[in-house]
Amino acid sequence: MLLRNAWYIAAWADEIGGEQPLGRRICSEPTVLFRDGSGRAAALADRCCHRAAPLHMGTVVEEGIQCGYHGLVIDGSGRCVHIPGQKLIPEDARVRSYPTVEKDQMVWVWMGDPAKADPTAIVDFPYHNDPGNGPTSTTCIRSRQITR
Amino acid sequence: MFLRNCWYVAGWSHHFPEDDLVTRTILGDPIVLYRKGDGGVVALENRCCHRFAPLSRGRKEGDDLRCMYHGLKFAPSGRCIEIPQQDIIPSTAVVRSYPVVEQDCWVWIWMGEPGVADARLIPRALNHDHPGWLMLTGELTYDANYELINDNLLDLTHLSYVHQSTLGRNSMSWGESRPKTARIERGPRIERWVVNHPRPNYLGLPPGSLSDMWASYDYVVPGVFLLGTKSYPTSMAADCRMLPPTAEPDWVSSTSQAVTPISEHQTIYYYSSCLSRTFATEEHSRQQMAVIERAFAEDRAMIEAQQDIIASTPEARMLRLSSDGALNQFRRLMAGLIDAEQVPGVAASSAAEVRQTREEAPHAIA
Repeated sequence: MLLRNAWYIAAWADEIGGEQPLGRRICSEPTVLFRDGSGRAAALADRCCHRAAPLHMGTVVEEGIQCGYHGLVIDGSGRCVHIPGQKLIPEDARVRSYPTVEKDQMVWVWMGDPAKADPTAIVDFPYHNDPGNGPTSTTCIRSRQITR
Repeated sequence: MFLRNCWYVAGWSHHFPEDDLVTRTILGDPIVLYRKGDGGVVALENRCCHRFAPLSRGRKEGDDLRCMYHGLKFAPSGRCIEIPQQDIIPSTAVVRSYPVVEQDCWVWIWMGEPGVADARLIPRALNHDHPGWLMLTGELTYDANYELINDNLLDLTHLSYVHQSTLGRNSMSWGESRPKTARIERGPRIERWVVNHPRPNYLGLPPGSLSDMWASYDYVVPGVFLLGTKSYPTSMAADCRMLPPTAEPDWVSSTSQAVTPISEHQTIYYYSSCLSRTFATEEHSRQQMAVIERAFAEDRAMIEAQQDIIASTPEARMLRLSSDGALNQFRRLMAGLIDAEQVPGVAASSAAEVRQTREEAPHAIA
């Protein structure tokens, strides 16, 4: 059993951004992390609502993440905003999204009931923001041995 | 679940040399195949009825196969015809024998009730072993259920995404077009104009050389893809008012592909690439195949990843889009045939009379 109503660290802030989304399994769930057009971090179920292709194999575009199988675009809230060759977007064209907070150079996700996600419950890591002592500096040792 | 009363491709003709015993697992069945003296292919259950030794470790003796554990000898019919040191051969001393037909460079095997195996149900591959055509062949194994590969081949809008830099040629022509889908006897027929489609790079034409390409394929039970394309100067699609072309094309190609389940979790995929000698050279043919093989590696990466996602979220449902009409039609056709086989006595009639009876639900989305 896993605790779901909790904030988990999904990634370091500098792991996401650019065209390439990041796929990561959290609490057994395949998730995908990326930054939307405004730079906001987003976490979605790593499963396109169309044919279940993993979204982490897609590309980050201005409006969200574009699935690499048939080209649907899903925004940071999980809503499908574009279907190639089709004008109408069905109501149920949605992917689960997880509450996401970027804080102290880390991306936190809430894997449980979204209504209970309280960002004030996230612990502080203030020293991550100290100049010369951040996670990208040599004084902070960081393991890159993350496997999916 | 598998459809058993139908023909599956067991391999290319060249996979079965004169003296070899070739093993295959098809729909979960272990099978050994070999050629008789007259060249005909025999397919037997790869398990001796005595102590379950694999007959593929046996020895061909004329047209027969001897198990090399305790020496039982089997005829091509599967019947045991010799038990060393024993005069009486029990009637139960038999291994399953599968009907086999070799046609169009493919060896086809009937996985169901032998009595209803009808060679007329085998679809004709396009331009295989034809003097007017250059042909190359290949095969690929997927760690995925066969239905995901059928789905992939029944919705070619993915060419603009999965194959952006290969078959899609960095064009949205495939992704944004919607084909016409008609019902034929054993599956859908899917036709479309791919308008303003870049010409293949290997032709060495100036960048931006475009064509209008007519692409028409049949996708027939149990998973056989038969595609022909004809290319024309741009504006031909409009000149034809998007109807099928009648003019002579300036480039033609075809490909025939067959999806054969190894098990529920693994599938083998056989494919050809054919180019008409009227327009293409052997070098074109090699380059075309190189593009196809890069593209199929892209498909495999996507489909195996899709399979992993489905396995970890089995309860989630898929979303139906306007591009899924053919895919859903074929899934319903297969499900109907598989259902019919589960009723004793119905299997034979359903195999003999394969017409699709179910009506397709109207498109929810257009």
